[in-house]
Amino acid sequence: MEQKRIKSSGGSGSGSGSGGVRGGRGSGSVGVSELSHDLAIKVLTKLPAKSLMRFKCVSKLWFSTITDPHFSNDHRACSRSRSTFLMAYPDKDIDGDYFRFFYAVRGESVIRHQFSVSLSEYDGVTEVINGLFCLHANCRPFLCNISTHEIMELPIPGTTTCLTYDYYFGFHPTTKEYKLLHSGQGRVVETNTSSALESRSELYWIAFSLKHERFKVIQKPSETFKHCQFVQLGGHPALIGLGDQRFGLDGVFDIWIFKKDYERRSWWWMKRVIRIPSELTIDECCAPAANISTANNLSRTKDTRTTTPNDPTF
Amino acid sequence: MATTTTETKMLTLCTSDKQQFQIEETIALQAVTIRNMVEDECASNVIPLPNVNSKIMIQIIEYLKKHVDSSVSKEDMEKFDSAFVEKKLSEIFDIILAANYLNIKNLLDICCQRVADVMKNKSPEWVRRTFNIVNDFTAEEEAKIRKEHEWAFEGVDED
Repeated sequence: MEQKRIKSSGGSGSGSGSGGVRGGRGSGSVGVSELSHDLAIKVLTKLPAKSLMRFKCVSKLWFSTITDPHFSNDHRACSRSRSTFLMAYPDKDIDGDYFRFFYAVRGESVIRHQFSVSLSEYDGVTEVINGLFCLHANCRPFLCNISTHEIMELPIPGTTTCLTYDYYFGFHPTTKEYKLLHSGQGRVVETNTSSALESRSELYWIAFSLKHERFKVIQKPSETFKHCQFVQLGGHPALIGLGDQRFGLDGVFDIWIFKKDYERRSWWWMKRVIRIPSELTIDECCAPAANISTANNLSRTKDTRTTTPNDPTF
Repeated sequence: MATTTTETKMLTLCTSDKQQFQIEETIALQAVTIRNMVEDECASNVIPLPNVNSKIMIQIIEYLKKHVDSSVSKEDMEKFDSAFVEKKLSEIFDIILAANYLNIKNLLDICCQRVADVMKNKSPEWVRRTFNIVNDFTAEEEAKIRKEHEWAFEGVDED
């Protein structure tokens, strides 16, 4: 439908007379070649999401390409190979409280700001999973795409009146389902071998299996934490411990991964220590925020991509 | 005459401007299109490549010669690749077209990545000029899309 076609670069003359084309790129003497739309798409899959959002207004064809779910999938597959690393921290500034997300590309010692959520607008933020996370305000849950900054309201789960609810966001890798857990009290999360969230109360810890949608009381790890954050790590529930002194200080985090021992049919905690390169730590209260797909690789977290918020099925 | 001890099979490639290039078959066969032509025996000694001119062919041969050499370390190869794409965008476009036609995947990838790297902070206007795209949005439609993605317009390069 578009008027673009491959003009083979003409040493053999034909392209050289294209008078109407403005040479925006140092107009070569040989006649300006154009890329077919298929080739332009190849270029687009290699762009960061921010650029894609900007280039939606280039033309109708580009708009429909960029918003096409197939393109999103290709783009995600492509950007996954560029490992990046995401972290977030709550921040106060003159305008109020923000929860800020930063990312760093592997091998670069630069931190870039990705996104901020104003905590005056939203009551809470969940874990980031595959570039998506949930926000809630007055008990209304929202799904947010961290790369494209799109925010979509989700249906309110069940018939609940709003008291002190919390939301937990999980992804089940085998069924590729996203689930949002809405809990009254206590903090719940975590699963069995695949994904989940956590629980933390002084009395007991509860895990929630995303697969079976059941709660389970679990044992605490041997260490106690002043602050901790529950994440999903390669399909396992895990706990990022920020001990007394170690609230991200020096970029050192203890990570406890809750694993199942199938032979003994029991669960155990495996501890790992992860160090974030010092040049990447922002201040003393940053924390890894995104889901981490493998335990030994903190960086496989956030990639720039365009997931359309209608992708996940709830 | 026959200076090489082992027989190296040579292929002759003929570009759109009727220039002939004699190169070793192993080098040329990295281009899937050429390999298919040779395997299908639809080409005689001279392989016509009507979609590639000699100026681009020289560069593609330079690339293929490097990549056929298995003694080059991965690091050196990456260095070579990143130096190779340091060209004017118009030239990169020509190489993309040729790499696509000849079906040389990695070359296509690194050139597309180069274009993406150059354009990532550019304005939509720059993109339209560079890709020769007509803006078919009305002013209102365009303004609406821009408004929805205001944040993406921060830090855009001057044209």
